[in-house]
Formats: sequence, structure tokens, C-alpha cells
Amino acid sequence: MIADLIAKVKIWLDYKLHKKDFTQDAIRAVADLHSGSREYNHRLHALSIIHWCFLSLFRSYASDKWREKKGGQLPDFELQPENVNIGILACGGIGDFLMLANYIYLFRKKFNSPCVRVYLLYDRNKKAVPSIFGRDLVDGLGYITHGELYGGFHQKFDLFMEVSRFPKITHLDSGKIATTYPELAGFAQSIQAFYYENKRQLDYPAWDGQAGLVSIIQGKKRIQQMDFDGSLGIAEEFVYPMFIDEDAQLHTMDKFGLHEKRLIVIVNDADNQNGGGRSNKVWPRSYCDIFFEKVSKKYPQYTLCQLGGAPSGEAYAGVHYDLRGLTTLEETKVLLQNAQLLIGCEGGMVHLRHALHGGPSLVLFGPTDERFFGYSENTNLRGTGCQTPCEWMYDGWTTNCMNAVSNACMYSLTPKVVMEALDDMLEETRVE
Amino acid sequence: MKKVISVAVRMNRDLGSVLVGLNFLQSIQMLPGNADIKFELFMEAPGPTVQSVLAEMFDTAVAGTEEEFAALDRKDYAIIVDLDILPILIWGDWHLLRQVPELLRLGKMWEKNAQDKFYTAFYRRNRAWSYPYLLRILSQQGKTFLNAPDIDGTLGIRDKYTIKLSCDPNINTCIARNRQYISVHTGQSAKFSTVQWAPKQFEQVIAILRSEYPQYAIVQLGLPGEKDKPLKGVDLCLTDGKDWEKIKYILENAAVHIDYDSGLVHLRKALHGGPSVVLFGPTSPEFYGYGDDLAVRGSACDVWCMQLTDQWNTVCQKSRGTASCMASITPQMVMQSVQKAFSMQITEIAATKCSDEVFLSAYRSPEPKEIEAFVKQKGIFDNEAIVLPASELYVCAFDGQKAVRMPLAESPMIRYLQGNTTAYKKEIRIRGSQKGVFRYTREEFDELIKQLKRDGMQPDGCRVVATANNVIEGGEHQAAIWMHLFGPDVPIRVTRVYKYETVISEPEKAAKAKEHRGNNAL
Repeated sequence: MIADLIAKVKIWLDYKLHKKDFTQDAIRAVADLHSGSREYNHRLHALSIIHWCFLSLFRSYASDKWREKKGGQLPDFELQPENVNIGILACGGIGDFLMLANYIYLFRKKFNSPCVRVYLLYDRNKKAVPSIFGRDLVDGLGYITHGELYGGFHQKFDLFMEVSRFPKITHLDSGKIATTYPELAGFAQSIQAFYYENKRQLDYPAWDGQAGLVSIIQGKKRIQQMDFDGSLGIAEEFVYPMFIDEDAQLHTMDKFGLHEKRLIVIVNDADNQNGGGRSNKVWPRSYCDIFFEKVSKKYPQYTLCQLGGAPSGEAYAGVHYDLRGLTTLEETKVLLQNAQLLIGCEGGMVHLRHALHGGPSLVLFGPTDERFFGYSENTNLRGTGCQTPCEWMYDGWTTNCMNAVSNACMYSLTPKVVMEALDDMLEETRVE
Repeated sequence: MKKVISVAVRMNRDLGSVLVGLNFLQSIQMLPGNADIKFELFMEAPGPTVQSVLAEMFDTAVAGTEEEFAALDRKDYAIIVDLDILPILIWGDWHLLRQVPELLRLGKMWEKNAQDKFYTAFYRRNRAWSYPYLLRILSQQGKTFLNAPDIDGTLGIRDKYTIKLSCDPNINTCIARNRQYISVHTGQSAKFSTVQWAPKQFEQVIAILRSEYPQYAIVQLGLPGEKDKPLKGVDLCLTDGKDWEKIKYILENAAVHIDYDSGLVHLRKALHGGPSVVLFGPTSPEFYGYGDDLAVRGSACDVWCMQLTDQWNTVCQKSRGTASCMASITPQMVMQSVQKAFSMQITEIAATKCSDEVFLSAYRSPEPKEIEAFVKQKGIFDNEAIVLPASELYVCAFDGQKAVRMPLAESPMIRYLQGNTTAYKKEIRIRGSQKGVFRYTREEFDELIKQLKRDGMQPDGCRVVATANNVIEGGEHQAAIWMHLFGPDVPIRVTRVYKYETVISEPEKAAKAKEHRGNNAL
């Protein structure tokens, strides 16, 4: 018991003193100062550090969450030593979570043994996780801050990995895995070998854009990227059977008065991390007003329904139903599944519709690459203004533009271009 | 006597980088000022080719290694620059640089750029790793390998070398003086295996050349250190790199040069030679190509992968074996380009020229010809002719120092016509203090009113150009006159242009949204 207590104190101290996100952030900030091209004298450096530290007083770090959670419990998964306990940290946004769900599903199919237990940890998107990972995909779900996790918690598992673009093993008890479930040892080894060959793309998110380019060369889509050696056989099709809450399934369409309506869903938003409404991914509002007004006149048989987070402005002209901020994720799933078409910028909702096998979407691409993020059943549009997707190419790529003609990617997707694509989709009877 | 200021420059040691660097330095040397600029070059163990080029251009050897560059005593130099793709300022003595004001300005820009997180954050962290990003950004901005160091175009570097390397015109090339020839470089022994094209393919090209162009001799070239095997069918083989002067002479005078993306292509350009047919694989033709060369790229892979992985130059990410991009280049594709080179049908691939900016008058309605020219500008992606009531139009006006979207009905022009001159005077004053905005004068407005009265006004006689947000871009004063005279519902003929726009004021957004609220079923 005393040993247990000492271990807990050690973890706590370790976390408090060394493993806080703040510390890592500070190290990064100092490294940035040193990587400047011009060497300043040490006084200027010191002043910059003081300035940075002063600003940090007003920033939010994991340590704040720790205090909030004081008295709370770390996830208790009741790990059994006779099992192979695998922990996975979900990283990224809703789209990334969906890819991961599909990955875990196929992983479990391949390593289908009662002794393999998979536990999912997450430090973001609290509300979305249960809705995406469902009830049966993993043996346990738990919220944890990054600091808490790497304060020693990850070592409780026999194999722990972070999965963002690729799986990356951060803890491995190779001896136990080799004896308990040898098939998994080879899998873990290949992940580790891949890591050492491609460290840059796994260690720094800034090189995610390059990892995407490599995948394009290899003919892989985002959904297939984490299956880097093809060992899980992930294809473009989403095979994980995404569940929808029964209650939502039964009542959503009636609740919003959309029953028996031919629905076109509009999603033109990005998450706050990617600049929200200011994101370069988002189609210009003025274009939306013109376009959707024309759509509502040209195709009166369709009902236009705008989805998204809490509204920052009014709905687009021509939109019949503004449901932004009014739907739960379960209700959103129902709408996405029942809509005849989705029109919008590339993002999580397009991936969710693909995962739900909802049908085709008309997707407007800007900073991200349609060859990598686009699905074959969709119409993936890129404007002529900028042929170089710039995801991750420079700091601030989500909201700033490097093109000589600002935001040429989205502004060159004029209402006329999108209308032609829509006409094609509706005439081709791809949309029923 | 002019003062001499010293400039230390670190360069990469490959032939292409050195030539581009020397071109850049010569442009700097031409900058006007009260001091002569003396360059000291630092690079890691330059090969004999580079040494010969440096000796010709600078009449001096390399001053030191990269290690010595890192340990330079700054006091001895006016400016210290690390030249990779872009110049990065290491040190600048602003006081000394006052002697050459343009260099002082450039130095400050290089310093700012190097610290600018937006532009070069990744570049600073790891240069080679950042190439796949940086080169794509530069290409997007119309930059090439040659003119990328000239960041803002001050030095006037475009797509031609200003330096001119020379070669001995009397050299004995072992080819009859009056005989024309085609040069070929295969680089079989180059260390980068993914950029190479199979010698057999080259031999097929040579066989076709011999049958289609029998009057041309075929000369195979090589760089010092390379030991390419002679190809079947060549008339002369200079692949040991020993006959450097001969190689230069042949490169300068060859009718066409066929090569992969190697230093010899850059050398031919620096010698002001003719067109080359360049086989591109892992490197970017947009960035490393020249406007008057012919880039050949296979169809197997449309993503250039230079520096995308640590093994980019030895392992193809697509096939994990032979580079599929190079393997998909066929002898027929090369021959097509050779034929184009002979017929001089060269399509420019770099430094595309922008059309001149067209300005519309803020006063009178633009003429149809002016509108036609306006909508053809770069950055205008579409246009359509519509008719809108004047009440739905907006102008860009100043609210304090901030430009906002203001309804035409509330604009300073309308208020001026209603007899309230204060708002218009204020607008004139603020516009006068702002950069890059059209300036208004009362005289011109008054003159327009008089002229329109003289010529007569019809209700449907007003034309404007407006953005997707209905902000008038030309003819706003005339639209105000029409609205004042014929009322808010007067139809205005609008050419709506689809382009990027920044000025959208929040209150107006909300106002427009209110109109749409009626459409909302909920």
C-alpha cells in the first residue's frame, strides 16, 4: 500500500515538475528563439523569455485541467494481467476519430482474441467520442489530460499508442506481448520500424502535409494512411458499422419537421482549432448566399438544411432550415444519413456521411488535397485559382493565404462552377 | 575613392546552387551606392567544376568552410548571409550598409523574412525537410530556382541569367567546326538513383536522333567525378569530366541538350546556350525548370517528392524500386520535346506574366470595353450580368480609419447630393491619408454631375461593376446620382465579379441576414 502511495506521489510529482504541457511548450518556445536566424545578445533573449512567461500566465494548460479534476479519478479500466491490454490515444478532430474507429475495428478483426483488450483514451472532443466509438468497439473509454497520461498512466498498458495520421507506439512491453499473443508482436515491430524510418512525419504535426503527399504517391486516401503497410487491409470504404442512437433514428426527422422531405444538407464550417468561420476551408459567405438562393429556386423539390456548430451569423439565403447549433451528434448522423446530398467544404461532416454510407456529397476543396481527403462517391471540386493544396505548408495555413491572389482556391470556386457540378450530380441520378 | 564593404555568403556546393548564387551576388554588386562590395564565399569542399566557375566569376577561391562561416568575426563584415533557396540574414551592420541603401533595405527584409513565422518557420527549423513546402509555395508565387533569392523582385532577376560564363571559342572539340551537334547527359553514376533515366532509353533516343537528324553529331557529356559508360551511337564521349573547357563549349553551342535535372542544365543557361530537354522526376519542373527549356515529366506520379522522405533520392515511395516517375518517361516523349526545341515551339513554363491591372473610375459608369478588360484580370474568377435595384448596392467607405461596406443609400456621395457635404469632405480627407485607395475630389464629382445633366439621364442608363457582396468597384458616384434622382428602386445594370474581397462590415452582415430570416422555416 505504501509502495502504491509512493508510486502515485512520484507520478504526481513527475507530472507537476516535468511532464506538464506547459513545460514542453516552454522548451519549444525557447528552442524557437534559438532557431532564429539572427543571434541576439543574451539580454534580449532573456527579455523574450520573460515576455513569453508573462503571457503564459494567461494561457490555459493541462495543469489547469488537473486542478479542475482534483478529487476526480483517472480512468479505471480494471486491467487484467492475463490479457494483452492495448491503450490508444485518439488525436485530432472528428474526421480523425472516424478514421481511427475504422482502424480499431479492422485491428480487432485481425487480432480477434478474447485476451486482446483495447482501451481508448482521449483528451479532446469529449462529447463526440462516445458517439463515434460506440458501445462495443473498445473495452473502455476514458478522458485523460495529456499530462496525466504521460505522467505514467500509459505504462499501465502492455502496448500504448497514439494514433493521429499514423500509429506511434509510446509504450511497449514486448516480452509480455511476445509470450501472450505473438502475432501482435510482429505488428508492433512493424509500427516501430515505420516510426524510425519516418520519424519526422510522426513526431511533428507540421509535416502532416508531407505525409499526405507521400500517401498520394502511394495511391492511399486519408482513411488508409494509418494502415501504412496494408496489414489491416483498410480500403477507401468505411467498414466499421457506425451505430446511431435508436431514439435519434426514430425521432430526428419528425422533430425538425423534415419527414419525407428531399433533403440537401449544407455544412460550410470548420472547427475552432482550424479557424472556425475564418478558415480558408470555408466557402465565402457571399458566394453561399448567391448559390443557395439559386439552388432553392432551381430545385424547389429539395429542402435546404444548414448544419453546423453554434451560428456566428444568419443562415445563407435560400436555406429553408437553419439547424446550426440545434442538433446533437446523433441527430446530425440521422440527417447526414437521410439527406439526398451534402454540399459543403471538406471537413468532419463529409467524413461522417461517408462513414454512414449516406450517399454522395458535393465537396469544395481549398487548402486540403482532394486526392487525399476526397472519396470516390463524391464530387470533389477544386477551383482553378490555386492548384497547390497548402495544408500544413506554413504556420497559420488554416487562416492565412500565401497565394499572390488571396484565397484563390475557394474564391475561384464560383457559384457557376459549383452549380454546374450540382446540375451534373442531380441529372446523373447519382442523387436519388 | 569608394569605400569597400565586405559581404560573407554561405552557399550550397552543387553546381546549380552556385550558379544561381553567383547570379544573385552579381545583381547585388550592381546595386547603386557609395561603396564597392567585396564578397567572400563559404562552402563545404567545392568540386573542381564549382572551383573553375568561381575562379572565372570571382577570380578567387572559396574563402572558407561552413564551419569557418559559422565562426566568422562579425565586425569584419557589413553583412553575413546564408544563401540556400532564400537568403537568410545572419548579421547586418546597418551603419556600414548605409553606403549601399538598397542593400540595407534588402538586409532588413531578409532579417524580417527569416524571423517571420508565417513564411519561414518550417524553413528555419529544418531546411531540407521544408523544401516540399517551401518550393510549392514559391512556385505558387511564380518564383523559380533562379529568381527565388530575389524575394521582392528588387534585383530584377527573372528567368534568364545576368552572369555570362565564357568558354574558349578556339578550343578543339574534336568535332568539325561546321558540324552541328546534340549533347546528352545521363548521370548514370550520379548518387541520386531516383532522378536517373535508364541508359537503354537514352540509347533509343539516340537511335531515333541519328535517323531523324543525321546531320547532327551526338556528344555525351559528364561532370567530373561521374563515370558514365558511353552510350551506343554517340559520336563523342566526354564523360570523364576532364575536358571541362570542351564540355562548356559543347554545352554552349549544342543545338539541343538532353539531360535529367542536373547541374549541366543550369550551366548551359549560365553560358546562355540554347534550349534543353530536361527529364524531371522527383524534382519540381515548375521550380527548377527554365522558361525556354522543355520539361518532360512522366504520367506515373503527379507529386514530385524531393526531400519528402529521408530516402527520396534512392527509394521511390510509389514502387519501392525504380522511380516510377522516370520510368514512365518514354523515348517518344523525349523526341516530341526535341522536335519542339528544333521548331522553337517552346511553351513558357515559368514566370507567367500577369496581365496589367485595370482600374475603373469611381465616378462614371465603366464602358463595356473597360468592363471586358477588368473581368479578364488575374484574380477575377467569373462574372455575370445582373440588374439590381440601387437600394441593394453598397460602397466601400471609411468609418473612422476602417474601410466598411456601407449601403449606397447611406454613402457619403448620396449625402453630398442631399446637401450634406460634411460626410463627403471627411471621406476625401481620410482617403487622402490612406495608401492604395482611390482618392475622391469634389471637383470631379461636381464635373460628373454637370456632364450627366448635359448629356441627359435615362433611368436604365447606369452601369456598375460590383462584387459578390454587391460592393461597387467602379461607377459608385454615378450610381449615387441615379439613386438620388430616380429613387432607391431604380434598376442598375451590374456586372457582378467573383473575386476575393476583404471589406465586409459586421453590421451590414447582420442587416443582410435579417432579410434572410424570412426564409427560415424555423
